[in-house]
Amino acid sequence: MVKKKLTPQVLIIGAGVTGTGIARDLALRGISSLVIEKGNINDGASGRNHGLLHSGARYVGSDLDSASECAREARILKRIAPHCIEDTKGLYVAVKGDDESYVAAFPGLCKKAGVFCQPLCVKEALALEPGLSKDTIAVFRVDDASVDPFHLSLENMNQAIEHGAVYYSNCQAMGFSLEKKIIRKVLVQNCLTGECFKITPRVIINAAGAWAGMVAQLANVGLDMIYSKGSLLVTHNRLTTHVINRLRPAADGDILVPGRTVSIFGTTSVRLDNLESIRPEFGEVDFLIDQGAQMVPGLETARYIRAYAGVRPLVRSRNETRGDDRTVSRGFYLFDHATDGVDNFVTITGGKVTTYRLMAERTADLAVEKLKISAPCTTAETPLMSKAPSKLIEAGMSVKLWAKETNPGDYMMCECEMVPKSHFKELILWLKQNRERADLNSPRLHSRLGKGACQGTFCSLRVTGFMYDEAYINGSQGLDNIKYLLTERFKGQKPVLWDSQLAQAELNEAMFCSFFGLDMVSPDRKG
Amino acid sequence: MENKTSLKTDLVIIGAGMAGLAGAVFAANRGINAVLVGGAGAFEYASGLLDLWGLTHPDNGYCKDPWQDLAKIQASRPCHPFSKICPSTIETAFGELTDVLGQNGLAYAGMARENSQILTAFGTAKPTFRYPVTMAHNVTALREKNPTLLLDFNGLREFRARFVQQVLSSTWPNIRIAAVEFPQMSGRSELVTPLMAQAMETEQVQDKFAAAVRPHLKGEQFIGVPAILGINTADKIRKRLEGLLGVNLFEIPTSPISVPGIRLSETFKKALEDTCVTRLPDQRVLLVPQNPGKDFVLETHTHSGTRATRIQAATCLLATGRFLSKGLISDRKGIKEPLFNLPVDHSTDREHWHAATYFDPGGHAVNLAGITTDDHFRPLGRDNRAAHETLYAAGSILAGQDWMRTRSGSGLSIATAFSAIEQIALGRPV
Repeated sequence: MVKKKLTPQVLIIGAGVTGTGIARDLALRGISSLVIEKGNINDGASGRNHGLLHSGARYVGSDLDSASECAREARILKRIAPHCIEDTKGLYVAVKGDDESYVAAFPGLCKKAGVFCQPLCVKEALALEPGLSKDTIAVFRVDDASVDPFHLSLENMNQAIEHGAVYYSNCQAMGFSLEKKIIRKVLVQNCLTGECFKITPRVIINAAGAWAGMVAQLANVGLDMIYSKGSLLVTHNRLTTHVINRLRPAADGDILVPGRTVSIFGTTSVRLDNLESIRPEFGEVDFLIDQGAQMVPGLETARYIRAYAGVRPLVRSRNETRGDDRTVSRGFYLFDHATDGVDNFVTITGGKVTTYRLMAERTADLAVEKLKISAPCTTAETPLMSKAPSKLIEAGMSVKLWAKETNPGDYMMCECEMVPKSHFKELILWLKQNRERADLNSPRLHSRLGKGACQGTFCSLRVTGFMYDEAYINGSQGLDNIKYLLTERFKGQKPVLWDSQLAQAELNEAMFCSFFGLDMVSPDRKG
Repeated sequence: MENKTSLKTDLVIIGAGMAGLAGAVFAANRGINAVLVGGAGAFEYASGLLDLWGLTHPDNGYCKDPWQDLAKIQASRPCHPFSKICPSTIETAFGELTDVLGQNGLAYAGMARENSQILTAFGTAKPTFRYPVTMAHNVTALREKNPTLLLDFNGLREFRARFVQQVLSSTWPNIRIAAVEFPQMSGRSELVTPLMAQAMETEQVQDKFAAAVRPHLKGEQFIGVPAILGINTADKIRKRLEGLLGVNLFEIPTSPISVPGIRLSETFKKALEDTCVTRLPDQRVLLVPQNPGKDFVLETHTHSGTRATRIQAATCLLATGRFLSKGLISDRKGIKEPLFNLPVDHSTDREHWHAATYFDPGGHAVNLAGITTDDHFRPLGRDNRAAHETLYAAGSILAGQDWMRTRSGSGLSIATAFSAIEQIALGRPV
């Protein structure tokens, strides 16, 4: 049944960093937009990457334009969104056996691309990063930084909303009504409720990442997508202060990025035929650790808390039909589907977190042109700072504020990531105002809850208790929520369950199965 | 540091979890000189309930008659540790242990041969064989669905009354909830169960508690509280409060830190005082030298790593538990038993350790990994013969059982420790 009538100037499909970035860009230009997302913010590749703000050095060997673009964009983001970025700096490290001709060429290539790069002597580097291999033979310092892609996307979306944009999570585009080379209406379905509604936008932007080909298909436009899976590992502790890159032509298991309290290591490059099963394989995990330990030996003995995989949305150009996925350009692709006979339809895909703002700018420029108005982009100058309670996203931030506030009756909801009840309550209220569901799983996307060492063992039941107290949930919903959370978290834990993390899993199962009996609770049970 | 002491004994028990402590009690009852090495930290995580077997076989429902399902296990799974023990022995073991606990102030209850259902802090019903008597009315109220008042304490994260009430709302509608201030703890933003239980030991706090609760009663005959009714004299406290309030009072077990677990640990401590069992609670065995002699000679270390005690023992009971207590250790490539380097029955392919989904009704294969023994609970070496004439193993380290999914943790520990100690008491097995 069609209930709503919605007429934004622009409809954006996909709430990754690009889609939310476009919403912000358009909002700052005074153009109304609606973002629909079939899951939640950053469910795709935007939430499943290293969180690396590239200095550009990784691409100097393969794509100088990409390298320069990264360097420029990283500088802009550091200026407009410093709270989403930790300016860790990066090291490029070669070890015995690595290609010495690449090491020799590296500084020259960086210079050519306008990428900062400073040679360090090995002794100096080991003093900076004692975790580096004793077999290190060459080190360069670059301007890499660590960025929180969730924080970035949430800030994009929240700032857009503050300027009039609208965001619908769990809403999927089901069909386009095409009439005289124009998409007149978009049929959308809420994946949770089944409710259908129509949107009548003037321009449609496809920012669905790896799913862009499927969205394009709704307009009978063919996009030759390549699905390139990359798997990553999250360590229990932060292993280094800098981003550590392997100094060799881009390959697997090359990059270790510190992300506040943890480190993220990856990645792999595995071609997938479809998007049905995007998960890290056990073999990939072992391969990554073996590779990484050559550069940072601590990766061999590190405690890993989970593994995850994302899909790079690459598009095959007509000339490149074979070869490694890494040789397919990591630059972005902006398609004006007027050339395919659909005048008000645009696809933006490919690219990387570092260049998302530029991708959004180019896409919004094209949309503005199609709307036949003139409105310049201001995203490079406007601070990316919304009024939403994003303090829960920043590890440690929440507790810093908590210690300053005197708040009787407040207590810690999550001790691994130090999330207090008061901040959590604020988040729930905000979520409800923004028409999002308030259960155990939605706040998880907006806070660090469940992301620490215990992986939800203790905080999940405290949060559930709180949700019951505040009457946000009723009946046996809480048990279903906890079951869902444990089921979801398990997918990422499974490949890294050995040593301490296997012991943690044992405690978890003793509590939730043996004691609380959640394995015997069926979601459709009557009591 | 050379303040090392030496002990010579008949039996050394390594591990002070349920299997190690039950083994120590059985040894004490039989006059076996023993040394028990290991702390009891894990009891903070123990529910305090004594499970025997809670799952029907093979259809995975909660079982009422554990003996019936144990008989099925014995018939179909000869490798299961329970298949090596006769049911009457299991019953004797439970009886002997609960007698000792009762004599030392921690009384357990339960139906003669059936499981009972206990209401948990999730509003779920957990099947168990023996439960502390402070939970007796929990079983009754849950069964009869009597009008009940659940007490909520502000700042107690481990127990939220509305959680329990809502989960039960369709099957047990006449539950009311009331929030009360816990006496002498206002001003604290966070309450923890052991501190509340400790405070409950004084009559002053009990009186204040009763006074705070009384106005909330509206004819209910049952009051449910999280398990905080004291540490050492819980049942006396319960009875006194019942007298003051004129209702049936019961405890609901919560997530850790678990007060009933701490009570169990304290009671074991008391039960082993002035017996032929010497405890080394703050020490652990890190390595056992592979000695060719008849006796076990091993060294214990303190937590700071200092060598503490040299123990020479004729027999040894390995009760070190699983991964959490480091009785088993694992890396990417496999699972090991670190003390005796005993073979561990498991798949070396990590991909087979866990099922595809967390709540797979079949459980996870890694939880079946462990030490294989002969019929006398002597671990087998790589040649499939007893690794050592007088080495025994008990508890969750044993292979072929999944205590978590089958709700058989305490029962497994009690029964296997009992069997091993009986063997030791008999002298050398044939």
